Amino acid sequence: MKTSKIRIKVNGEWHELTVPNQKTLLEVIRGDLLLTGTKRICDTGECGSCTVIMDGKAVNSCIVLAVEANGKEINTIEGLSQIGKLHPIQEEFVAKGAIQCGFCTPGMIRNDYDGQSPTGASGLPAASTLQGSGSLPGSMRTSPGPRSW
Amino acid sequence: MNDDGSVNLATSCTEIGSGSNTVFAQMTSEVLGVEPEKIHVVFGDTENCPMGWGSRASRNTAVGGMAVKLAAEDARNQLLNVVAEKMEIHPNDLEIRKGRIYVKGTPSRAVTIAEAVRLNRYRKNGQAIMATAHWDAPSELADKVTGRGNFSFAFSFGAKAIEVEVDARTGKVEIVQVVAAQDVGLAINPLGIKCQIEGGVHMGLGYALTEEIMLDPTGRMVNDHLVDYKILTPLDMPPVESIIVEPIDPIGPFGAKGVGEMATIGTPEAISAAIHDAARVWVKDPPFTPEKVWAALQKKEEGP
Repeated sequence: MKTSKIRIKVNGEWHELTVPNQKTLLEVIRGDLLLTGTKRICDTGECGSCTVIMDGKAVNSCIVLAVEANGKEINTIEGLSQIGKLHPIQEEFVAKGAIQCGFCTPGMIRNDYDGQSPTGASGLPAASTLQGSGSLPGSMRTSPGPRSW
Repeated sequence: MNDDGSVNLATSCTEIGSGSNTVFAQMTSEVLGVEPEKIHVVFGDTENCPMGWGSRASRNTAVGGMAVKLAAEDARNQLLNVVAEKMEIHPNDLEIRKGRIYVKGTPSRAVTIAEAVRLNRYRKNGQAIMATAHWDAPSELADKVTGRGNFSFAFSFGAKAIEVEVDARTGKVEIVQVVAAQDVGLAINPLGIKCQIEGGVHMGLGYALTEEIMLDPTGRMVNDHLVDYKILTPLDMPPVESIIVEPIDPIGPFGAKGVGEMATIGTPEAISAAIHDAARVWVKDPPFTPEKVWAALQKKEEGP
């Protein structure tokens, strides 16, 4: 098994790791860095629950290899709220009841946050480009909510 | 109950995204006067929780909620009894609200709920404030011969109005808007109910328009991924107006009854009827794909 040394900046903090080349960014985030807010569901880049921001763009971390993230800046759901204070997007999710079991919520929020990028992780338009329609194009979910607003 | 006045609530009703944990915390808060954020709901594991037989039949709020209410009332009586004994008055003369237990009409004569819990525990023959409850909802088992029975003590009712546009050339059905009204008994959590209605409509729309399990000749599902088993994305969702109708139920906890499934039920039927209203063809086999609607339109044109 070939391994590589990588350096990634996650939520503002640099990490140096030696990882097997086939290891995904999601596995590093959850398994090595223990940031379990990013969820693993379909593991094939379809559902959007593992969305993180990599160099300002929303990506499905389950289909990004850790070695591809070398030298990059990653932001996970944990990096969105400032100490004790939720991000306005998170506050809006709470206010609108856009939370049910909550398992896919981090991915939805990360997709919605990707304001700089023209597309969400799935390649569909990012929510912010839809002029406040509140849509979350990169997320697939069947559970009740979120409300359309 | 814990020494700081917080509550551990272990339930057999598993939270599957319907919001029942929140509803249970609200109910417990209502009875015990403890703030909802101090109520810790535990569910889903028989190592820590009672055995349940599943979150089905839209029964968590209605049936599980009643057990929660009964257990909370039991705990409340234990709290009032220990405080009444200490104050040498009758428990009926006490009020329990906002974390405090006080004498009716004399709010200054009070102890906190946390103090009452400790009072009960740290004394001779002290005990924990602890209660369990089980509720067997009134029902009538089916007659073995006729099959007749009555499985629900509180049936829910709902209505859907759906506007569609049918493309006569391609058979594609667009949903313009959905209005969903539902009778929920007393709305314990109106925001949660509205979300449930919208989520149920989303599920019903998928069932009606896009979601189809395709099998190969050996019975294996061929479209078992989200890329080919199509559920509606937020971009596909039409505006949904949800209307809560509140006829207080005489039996359910605080007058509440079930919500979940009713939000889905009726959605494909309303769409089928709307397609008929728009294009004068009946398509009754969901999903109403462009192919099926187009074929029905062709058949109509050819005549009988």
